[in-house]
Amino acid sequence: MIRFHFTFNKENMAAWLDEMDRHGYKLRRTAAGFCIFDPVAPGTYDYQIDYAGGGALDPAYRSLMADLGIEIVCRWGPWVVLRRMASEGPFMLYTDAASRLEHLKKVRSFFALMACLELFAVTLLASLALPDRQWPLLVVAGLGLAAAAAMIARAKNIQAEITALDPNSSAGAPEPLPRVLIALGCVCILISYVLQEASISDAAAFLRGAGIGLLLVSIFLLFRRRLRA
Amino acid sequence: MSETDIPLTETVFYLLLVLQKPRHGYGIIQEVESLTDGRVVLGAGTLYGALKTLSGKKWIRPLGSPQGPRGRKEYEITGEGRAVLHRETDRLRQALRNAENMGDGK
Repeated sequence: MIRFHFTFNKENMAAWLDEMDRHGYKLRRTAAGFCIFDPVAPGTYDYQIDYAGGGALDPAYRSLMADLGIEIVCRWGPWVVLRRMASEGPFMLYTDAASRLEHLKKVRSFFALMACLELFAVTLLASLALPDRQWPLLVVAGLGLAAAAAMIARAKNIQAEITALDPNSSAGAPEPLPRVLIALGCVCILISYVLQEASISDAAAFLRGAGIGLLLVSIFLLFRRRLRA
Repeated sequence: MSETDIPLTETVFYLLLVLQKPRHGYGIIQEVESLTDGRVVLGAGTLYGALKTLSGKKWIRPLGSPQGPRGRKEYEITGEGRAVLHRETDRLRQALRNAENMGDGK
């Protein structure tokens, strides 16, 4: 059976997989929001979703999960879908404040980075598509903008969770400066296009210049960091 | 060992304590749970992160190639890990002594 379930929220995904399990379906694999299920006795598994970042899973991770009776079902973007027999009791991944905090910080940083890349891609698309009014590309850019907004909202929610766990950590974890500058630059350029459409040319030119300037500064910062490393 | 290493978190303390004998993941969780009467139950993500961090600090080390049918990887405390555990136990002993002398809040 194939079902479509699109979310950026892994808790939401895990809850949905648990619900599918109660209805007698176990996940086989997932791709681009589509999930393929096989029949299973209802209530067989408990699901959890872990953040694994990019690239292959650490062999030590695989061997530990196997040791603990946890099945690695499939990758789902940067996540990994895990399940364990429900008969083995409550299934939790992060059981102390320190590890929960570290996990949340990784997830938040992922969403912030994705939102930044998304904004950059949208700006690029808009620059290509606007002069000739290429509507399909503009629609894609619009969807990208909505996705970026959803990711920023997600990052903010996770930041709220982090602050609730550790009130001191909000001040200690600012976004990396180049990332912020890229996002700001992209927003400036996007707004300049809107102003251009509204025939406010002077302000549009000013904002576009500022945006390009911010992008150049961030590229310089990234380049300098690469040189130092 | 640096100044910020002590005090240990409860997770790290119990990991070092039970890894004085070589153990694999499941064995670690069971032993810690039984030592604390079920109060400290290590989740898979917490355990993985702690094993990785402590291996990085060379307080514990993985033993050879994975043992057993499920590819179980065993870990064991190192000399440096023992030194940290010893210092932490001294600190806890002092805290306990002070609490016993000055009343423990009851």
